[in-house]
Order: sequence, then C-alpha cells, then structure tokens
Amino acid sequence: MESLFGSINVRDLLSAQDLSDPNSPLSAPDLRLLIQRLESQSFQIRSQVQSYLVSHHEDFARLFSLCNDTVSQTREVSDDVSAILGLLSDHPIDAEVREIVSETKSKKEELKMKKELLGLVGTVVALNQRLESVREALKSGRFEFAAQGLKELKVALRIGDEDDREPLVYGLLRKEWSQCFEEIQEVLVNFMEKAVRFDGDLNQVEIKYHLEVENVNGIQLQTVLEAMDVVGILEYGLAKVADLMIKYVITPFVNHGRPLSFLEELHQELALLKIVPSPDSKFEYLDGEFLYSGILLFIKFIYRSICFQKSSWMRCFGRLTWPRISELIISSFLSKVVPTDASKLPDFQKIIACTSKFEMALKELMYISESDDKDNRLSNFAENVEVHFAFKKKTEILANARNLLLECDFSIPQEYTRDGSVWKSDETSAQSSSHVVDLLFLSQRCLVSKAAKQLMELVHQTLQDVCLSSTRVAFEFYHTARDAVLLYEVVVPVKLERQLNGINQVAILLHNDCLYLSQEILGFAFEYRTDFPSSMKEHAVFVDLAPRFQLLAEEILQRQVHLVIYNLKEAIDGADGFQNTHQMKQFESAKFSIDQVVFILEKVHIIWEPLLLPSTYRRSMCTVLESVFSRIARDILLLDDIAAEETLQLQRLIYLMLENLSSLFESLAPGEQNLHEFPAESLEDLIPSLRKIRKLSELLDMPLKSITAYWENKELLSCGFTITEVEDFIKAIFTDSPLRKDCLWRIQNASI
Amino acid sequence: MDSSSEHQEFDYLFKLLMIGDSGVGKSSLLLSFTSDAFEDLSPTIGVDFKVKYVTMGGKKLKLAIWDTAGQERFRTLTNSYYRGAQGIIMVYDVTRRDTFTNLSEIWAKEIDLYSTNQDCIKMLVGNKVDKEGDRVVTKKEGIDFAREYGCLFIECSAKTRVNVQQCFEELVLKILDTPSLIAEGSKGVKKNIFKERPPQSDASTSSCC
Repeated sequence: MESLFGSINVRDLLSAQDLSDPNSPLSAPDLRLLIQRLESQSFQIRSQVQSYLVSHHEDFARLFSLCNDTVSQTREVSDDVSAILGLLSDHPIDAEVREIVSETKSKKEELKMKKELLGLVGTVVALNQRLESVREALKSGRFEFAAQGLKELKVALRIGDEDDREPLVYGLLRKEWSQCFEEIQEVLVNFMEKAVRFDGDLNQVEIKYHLEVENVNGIQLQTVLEAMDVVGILEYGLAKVADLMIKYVITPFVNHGRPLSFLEELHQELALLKIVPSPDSKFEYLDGEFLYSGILLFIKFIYRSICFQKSSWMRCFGRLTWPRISELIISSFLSKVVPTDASKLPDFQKIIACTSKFEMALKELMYISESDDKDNRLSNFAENVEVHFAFKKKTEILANARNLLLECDFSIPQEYTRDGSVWKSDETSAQSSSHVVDLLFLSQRCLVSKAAKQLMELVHQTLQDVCLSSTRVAFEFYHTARDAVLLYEVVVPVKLERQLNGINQVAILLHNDCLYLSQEILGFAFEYRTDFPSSMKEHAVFVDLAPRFQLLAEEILQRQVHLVIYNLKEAIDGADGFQNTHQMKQFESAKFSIDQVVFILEKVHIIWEPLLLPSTYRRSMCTVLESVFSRIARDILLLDDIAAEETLQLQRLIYLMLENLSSLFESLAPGEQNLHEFPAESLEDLIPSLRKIRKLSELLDMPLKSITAYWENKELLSCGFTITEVEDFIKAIFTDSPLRKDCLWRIQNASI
Repeated sequence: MDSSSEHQEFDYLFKLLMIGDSGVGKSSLLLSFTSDAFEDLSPTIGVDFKVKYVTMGGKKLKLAIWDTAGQERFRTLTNSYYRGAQGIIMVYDVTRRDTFTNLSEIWAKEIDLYSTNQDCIKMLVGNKVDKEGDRVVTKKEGIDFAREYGCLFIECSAKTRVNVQQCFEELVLKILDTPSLIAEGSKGVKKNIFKERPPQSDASTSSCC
C-alpha cells in the first residue's frame, strides 16, 4: 500500500537517455509510450486496492457495527437526560439537599471546638505535670534536669511574651513558674555561697567542688554553674563571687602597702588561693610586672577553678569584675607612675608595653572581649596618659612663656649701658649674665632682654624633651616649641608699642632680641634633628620662623633710624635754612638747632653704641649722620646771598657742630677687633656728606681764586659738589666783578 | 613739637635749663608746662628738648627748654649745654632730702663752672608738694637756700600742676627785666661790607636798646 502514498514522477516513466536534459521537448513516440505506462500503473493501483479491501473485510465490518452501536447509545443518553430534567423541574429536591449540607457543616464545627478544648486541657495538664516534675527534681538535687525543665517551660508559657487573649489558666501557670524559678535561684545561689568562700583567718579563698545541702549529697559545683547558665541567672550567681573576690583578694593585693603574692593549691575536692606576703619586701611596682602577673595568676585561678575553662562563663565573670579591677589598677598604680617630665616617658613606655601584654593575656583567657575596645581600659588610659601628659606639659610651657614675656620690664641694668665694651669683650660673663648671649652665626655677643634669654632656654629644654619622647609626645612638644617662639612675636611688639614709637633703649633691646631669636631658631635643625624621633626628622620645620624674626629686627631698627632722622630734620627746620646768621637772633636760632642736633645725636650714641652690634651701630649711625650733614650742607648751599660776616658765622656753626660730635666720630672709628673683620674705611668714605660739609666750611673763608683752583683739580667734585652748587655758592658770596666772571668761565670750561 | 609753630615769629629766644638729680621730676615738670599731659616717664636719656611759644610783658617769646639726665657720656657736651642759657631751673624733690643737699654740693658748683652767662637767672624749685605726708624738706629750708644763693624760689607739683605755670613765668619775667640777657637775645643788623645792598627792612630786627 506504500505505493498509494508516493507521488508519481512522470520522468521516471521515460527512457533513460532523455533524463539529462529537462528542457528537451517530448516526441510523439514518447507520448504514446507514456500513455501506455500510465495505463499500466493505473491498473496496478486498482488491483492493489481491491486486494486490500478483501483482506481486511472483517475489520471494516466491525468498524461499521461499532458506529451503529454508538449512535444507538447516544439516543438513549439523550432520553435519560430529558427524563432527569423533567424530574428536577417537577419536584423541589434541591432545598432538602441544602438543609442537609448546612447541618453537616455545623456539626463538624462543634466537633472541632470540642477537640480544641480537649487539647487545651491536655496541654495544661501536661504543663502542670512538668512543673511538678521540675519541683520534684529540685528537691532531689537534680539541678540540670530542673533547670532544663524551667527553660523549656519558659518557652512554652511564653514568659515575657504574654497574650491578653489567653485563658486565665495561663496566668496561674506562669505564677507557678515564677515561684519555681525563685526557688531554684535561691537554692543555686545558696550552693554557690557554700562552694566559694573567703577564710579571713587563713586569708585564703576556698572552693569546694562537692557539696551537701539539705540532705542532698554529692552536688557538683560545675553542675550548679551549668544549671545557673541554663536558667539564665549565671551573672546573678557569679556576682556574689565577684564581690567577694574584689573585696578580699584584689583590693588588698593592689592597695596593700606591702607587696602580696598568691599561692595556689589544687586538689580533687578543693581549690585554695592563699594570699601571702611577698618574699621580696623591698619590691615596688616600678613597671607593673609584679602587679600584672599577680592579677593574671588570680584570673587564671578563677578560669580553672570556678569557670571550668568555659569561655562564656569567664566572659560573664569579666563583665562583673573588670571595670572595678581596671579602675583599681588605674587609681593605685598607673595614675601614680604618670611621668612628670619628658625624660621619664621612655620608662613609661615599658609600662605601656607591659600593660598591653597583660590585657592580651586577659583576652586569651576570655576574661575581656577580643573585639570590644572598651575593655582595653588600661591600654586606653596608658596611651591617653601620654597625650594627657603632653597636653598638660604644653599648657605649662606656654603659660611659662607668656608669663616671661608679660612680666619682663625690658629694662637694662646700668652696668651694661654705661660702657658697652666691657661686657662685649669679657669672655667669662656670658654664661653668668642674664642679659648677654653669644650669637650662633656671627661670633659676637649681643645684649638681649631677660625675657628673650629665658624664653629661649625654655624652648631649648622643650626641644631636648622632644628628643627623649615618644613620637606622639614629641610631636606635641615640637609644636609647643614653635608656639612659644611665635608667642614672642605676637605679645612683645604689642606690649612695647609705645616704646617702639620713641627713641629709647627698649626698642634697641627688642631689635637685639629678634636678632638673637632668629639665629637660635636657625640653629635648632642642626642641634636637634638627628636626635628627634625618626618619624619627625623629615617633618620638623623651623626655617620658616627665623626670617620672620630677622625681618622684625630689621623693621624695628629701621623705624628707630627713621625716628632719629625725623627728629633731626625737625631740629634743623628750626634753623630756618640758616638764613641771616649774621644777625644775632637768627644766629641764636641756628645755634639752637645745631645744639639740638648735637644732643640728639649724642643721645642716640648713648643708646645705640652699648646695645647694638658694632657693625650694626656703625651702619645705622652713618645712615643718620649722612642724612644730617647732607641736609645742612644743602640748606647752606641754597642760600643765594651770604654776607661777609655771615660766612664766618656759618663756618663757626659748622665747626661747633663737628667739634661737639668728635666723641661720636671716635665711636665710629674701626676698633681693633674690626680690623680683622673689615677692611679699614675712613669715616668720610662711610659718610660722604661729612667730607662735603668739612670742605664747605673751608670754602666759606676761601679766596675766589682758590675755590676755582679746587674745582679745576676736581677736588670739589670728589667731595660731592656739583657745578651748579659751586657756581651758586660763588655768586652768593662774591659781588659781580670781572674776576668773578673769569672764574665762573674757567669753572665752566673745566667741567667740559 | 607742633609743626604749626615751626615758623612762628618771635621777639626773643630764651634758653632755659633744667638740672637736678635723677627722678626729682624735671621731665614731668617740663611736660606739664609744655602740654596738658602728665604720665610716669621712663628715665631721661641724654637731653630732651621742648619748645614753647609764650607772650609775656607784651613780647613774643620762644622758650627752648633743655632737660638733661646728666649721663657721664655727656660730659664732653656740658659746655654746650650751659653755654648761652639765660635761665636755669634747679629742681629737687621735697620727699628726698639728698636731692636738696646735692643742689648745693653738686649742681650749684657745676653752674659756676660751666655757665658762660654770669647774669643768668636761677630758680630753685621744690617739686612733688602733692606728697605733703612724705615731705622731708621744709619750705623754710628752700627759702633760706634761695636767699643764700641769690635765686628765685617756688614750690610746685608737676602732677597736680600747682605752680607749674608760675614757675616758668616768674623766671621769664625776671629774664625780661635783665637788660644784659635781653641784649644777647636781640641785636641790630650788621652791614655787609662787601655788598652794596639796602638795609633789612624787617621790623623784627630792630633793636630795642
């Protein structure tokens, strides 16, 4: 039959040679052949079909019979459905069914409720029976069973998780439970009190492992502790033990004036911790080793003998006792060994290390928490002591610095101002004097205020402490040293503001202070850096401070110079340009001005020479003198008409001034020591106007021809005169004449 | 110094000195006279100047008042200090007897030695009379010293300004009454022998002789 389902390929019916070309047209013979083959194929198909039908005749017959039966049954079903529908619509049977179902449901609900009530009664009975068994176990000493029972009942009765809608009977049961709990608590604590006690006569702790209470024999201490743990009253039970230990063991050990030791005795039935005087009666708590090892021995005793090496029990005991023990150690030991100066800090570092080791050992015993930093009470205190010490010391140092600066009156003893050369050259007085210091980078001596010298001593001491301290303390001290120095900068100029606005010794002393401070500060790095803690070597900086004081010193000095020059010019203004000095009144005014100039300069001489460094004194005084002489010379040269007697009066005034300044000039001459430091310079090289005014005094009574000759040989030019000044000078003194014209002409020519 | 008075016209310039031991109040006295201030002054260094313009007896006067500390360094300038002074005020502290005795033993001798003006007016001044409870030099002693030495006398207090003005006024008036001192303060114009110029027409240069 497979052939019936296959497709007929027409090409297969053709001859073989024509298959290669599908596009070739078919010939007439091919068509006739094709017709014949198709007819043959059709006949074969019909034959096969007939054969198949014949061979499966019975199957087809059954199939048709089955169809007929099915149709008959369908009709029957249809008739039945119609009958049923008629039945239902004709009679009210559904109402009866609903009633029956409702009744069934209510019956079931009643049954369910009764079952629940029965269950509740069963539960209550069971709980009550369990309570009875717990109570019975308690009486017979089976504490583990009793404790476990109480624990389970707590969950069953939802102790602490009450429900208002519960039956009243649950409240009664809880009441029973509470009573039972109190009973077991009392019994267990009573056992603990008998198990662990302190014998005052023998001065020892006694721990009994086997107990007899109220006719109950053979109770194990560990059993009692386990029961306490199960019930949740371990902390309460150990609290009394803790109190006992603190009172009779730890406090005497820590506070005792005479050192104590612990001796352990461990037996099968008994453990003893004896407290005995230490064999070494001279021992002191120098580094805490003895104290810590003793307490550690005690803790280990507790760990083995009471807590039975259970970490949770040990942790509980730790919570009960560690706050008090650590407080005792701090108040009796650590507080007393807090160092009072930096040199003791390295010793305290050993105590810190010892303390840290002690706490680590306690952690290994589970006595204190591994993770909670709050339990590192001793280490926290020891570490904080360091910072606290540093802060306290810092406050003390800055308070001292402030007092030094505020209390100093910046005065100078008479012996230093009368003759400065004595203290400047005396090789032995520097160390003993409270005012004389050696400058680091100038190989000279300097007079400073007592405040500056004492402040620097304080700073040096602080930096020495930096070298001896731990990093954290050293860091605080380093900043303290810087702050102390800066304190001078902010306090002293304000304190001495009024003096700085006048010409006085205080201002010069302040200048010297700042010079001294700047040099000392520059030396700090060289002096201390190698000894600083290694982490500070790269960070300690002082180089930024020194220039501030250098600039401040120069500023103060320049202000003094300006004040002096201002005063001098004010005095010279009183001379009114030195006009008409041939008249007595004008001459007296001019002389008064010259006298003022002389006395001001001498006053400055008195103030500056003893106090300033020689080179500074010379430089500053020459600046002042140059200003004075150039001003006076200029005023005289500006006169456009000078009478004959006026020239003599002016000359007299100049001579008077120079003569009165002779002692001042002597103080500016290079001294013996300066010859080695500087090439010798004449005073006139330092003060060009001095040469000019001296020459001017000569010109005032010089013949005209001589003046001309001096100009022609360039001597006047080298003295600082300009051609205009010389020409105006000649015109002012000499009347117009052919000789004057000739001389002016020659001066003009000499200039070309 | 007030700058507005820098070029103030005046008839006479008088140089007044203040001498006496350190701490008697010379500087406070001078400050009290030349300004309204009184303050605790630090010791004088060298010499301080004060200039004050006053009008007395119808004359405009420029008073140059010198205040010294008497340092040894100033010995070289002592001649200049005393030269030409028309008035000298000798100050002592009525609460310190040594400052009074030193006037006769030290300072009077110095005046005799250095003063170039024999006619200069001297005034004895007892300062700090506000401290009456601490007084150790009586007024009578001061009067007797002044009479013996031939000088004026007054007691004052720089602190309370009692008699401060009177002290200087009395001295200046006395100077004005002394012709030789006035003559030095003002002289006529001298002719320029090399120049043919008309004489100065400034009225302030006229002589009062």
